[in-house]
Amino acid sequence: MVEYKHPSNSFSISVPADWTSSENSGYVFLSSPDQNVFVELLAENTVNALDADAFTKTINAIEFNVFSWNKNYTETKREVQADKGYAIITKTLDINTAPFQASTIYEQI
Amino acid sequence: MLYVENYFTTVSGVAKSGPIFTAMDNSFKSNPAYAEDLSPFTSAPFTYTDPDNLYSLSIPALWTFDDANKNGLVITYTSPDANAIIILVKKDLGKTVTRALADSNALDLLKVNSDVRVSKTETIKNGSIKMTWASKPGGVQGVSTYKWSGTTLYYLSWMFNTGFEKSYGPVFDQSLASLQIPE
Repeated sequence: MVEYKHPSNSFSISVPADWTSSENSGYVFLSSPDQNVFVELLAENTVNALDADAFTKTINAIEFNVFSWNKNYTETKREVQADKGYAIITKTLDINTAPFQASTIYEQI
Repeated sequence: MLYVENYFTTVSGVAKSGPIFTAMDNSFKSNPAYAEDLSPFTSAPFTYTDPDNLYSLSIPALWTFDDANKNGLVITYTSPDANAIIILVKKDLGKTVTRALADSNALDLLKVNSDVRVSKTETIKNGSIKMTWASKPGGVQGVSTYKWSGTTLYYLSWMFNTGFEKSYGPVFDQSLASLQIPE
């Protein structure tokens, strides 16, 4: 594993040495050589801290806007601690006709 | 500051990828002090495409979708703090739309805000019209653009409460720059 640090310095993570990365402001896409495994990380400036209700609405918005349009999208697990600003949601969905599993961790800091 | 980690693997590769994801998640370190320098709501845009392919544009993924009429004719995306909104309107005017008819209807849509003053009108991509405006009594300002095709007028509006230009200006710039309007 090697350390990847986003150019904005807003986050870092260890990744397998043979993975590739591409990034833009606040975002990075990290992928295995065969692209069967990949990770997206992002830091989003929400202007104000989200209270529990806004946090729940926001993660629901992301799940709807980004994931729900994928063919065969099915949410399989949801753990939300809105008062702590933390959630993990797992789903299955098709990407380019192949079945994928995606786990998304949300954390407000 | 909201951090999001998306871990994807083929369903057949879940067992093999699990330990890699665990190691990556355990190593993840955030530094919100630097993240505060990022323009708000610009890290995670997604592309909204009109079902009739009249236009597409990027919208912050964190914003809440609402289709109040459940018919796709008026769609809104609202920021988490509710200080900014993007409105997408599709209106069948019942007859072939002319420039004058489009102007008239767009102004009617804009005037749902009280005492609106348009400071600038210009022609932008593929002949669509862009209006920059503000409503002092309503405490809102924004940009609206409209175009027409056959009997349909489509009207897109980006608006935020006065005083939030620094927060939402870059979001709207990004969204407007992404606007694609087929010929």
